[in-house]
Amino acid sequence: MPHAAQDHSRDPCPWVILNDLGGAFVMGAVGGGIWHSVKGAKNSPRHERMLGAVTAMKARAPVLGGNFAVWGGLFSTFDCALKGVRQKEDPWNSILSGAITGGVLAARGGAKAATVSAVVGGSLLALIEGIGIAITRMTADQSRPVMPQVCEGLFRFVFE
Amino acid sequence: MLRRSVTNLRGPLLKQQQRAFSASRPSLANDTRRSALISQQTVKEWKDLTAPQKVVAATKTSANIGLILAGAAVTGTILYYVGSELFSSQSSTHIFSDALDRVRQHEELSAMLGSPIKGHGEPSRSRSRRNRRILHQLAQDSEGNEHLLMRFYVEGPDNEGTCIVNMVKDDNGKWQYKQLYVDVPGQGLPSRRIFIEGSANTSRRA
Repeated sequence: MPHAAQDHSRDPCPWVILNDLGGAFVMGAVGGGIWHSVKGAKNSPRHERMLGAVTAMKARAPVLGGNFAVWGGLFSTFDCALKGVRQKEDPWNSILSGAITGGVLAARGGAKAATVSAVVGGSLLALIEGIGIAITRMTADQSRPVMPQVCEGLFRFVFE
Repeated sequence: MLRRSVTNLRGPLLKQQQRAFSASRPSLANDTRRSALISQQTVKEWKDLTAPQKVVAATKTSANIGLILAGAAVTGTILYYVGSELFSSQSSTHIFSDALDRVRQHEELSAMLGSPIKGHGEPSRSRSRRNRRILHQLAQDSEGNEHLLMRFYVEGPDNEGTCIVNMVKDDNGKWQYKQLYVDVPGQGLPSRRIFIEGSANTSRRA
């Protein structure tokens, strides 16, 4: 049976943090660029819309990109840390990483603000993981043709 | 002089407020009041709307309520899935965790694989999916018993292997191990199968 365990689409754990940080920065910068340029254009006088758009985007979009990058980098770091500590991969890693990231990012506001932010981050990641779990459960009931397995029961293994 | 002008203003203002809150007032939409700041209304009363406008308003309200209920249903479904997956002892996450613990405690396997044994699932083709999730399959055999089949990979510093889990549902509805074995390749043969639960003969009978 060919060993399909090597994951060639993602980097191994320390380097995937850089990947995620960069990806999050681009998402924040591009999204923030569009959002703030539209907002700047709307809030400018009619003959200065282009200038207003560019000015607002230059001022705000890198900030948003930086915020997203910090969130993504911290999340990926805690995810890799949990994978190393627990030595297994399951939905708990993402949820706990989201919670710790939320807590760390709000830590300057004190313990109570950090707790609230951790709960919010954890529930957000739980919702995102829930979609993946729902899809996994639905594919568990599907039947697909596969190679016959060694054990000669009257049922078949079906995997992706 | 200033005070008198203020009291002069306040008198009719108070009267307006009293009239605004009395039950037998005329419809606000037709009132022309001096102070638009107090009694400004942009929404019409229900009885002021004509019949088609009432239909439109009712449709809008029911559509909004339907949207809220749909969102609540989707959120509730996802929360149920998450809760049952994380906290139930019959979920695939718990089964994977239990199977991995058994693999780690097996002396022969930990001698063969090395000391910290790491368990993960199938790598996914999409870049966005970070965790290699454990997929499982539910099947029914010829006697009508339900089976749960799962495969995950175990990796240690010295070696790696594939672990196959085959569970059957007993009378209480709980999953029981029927077969649990690990294939470790490269032991002289193509792969060596180490049984933790069950044996090579248990699959003959369902």
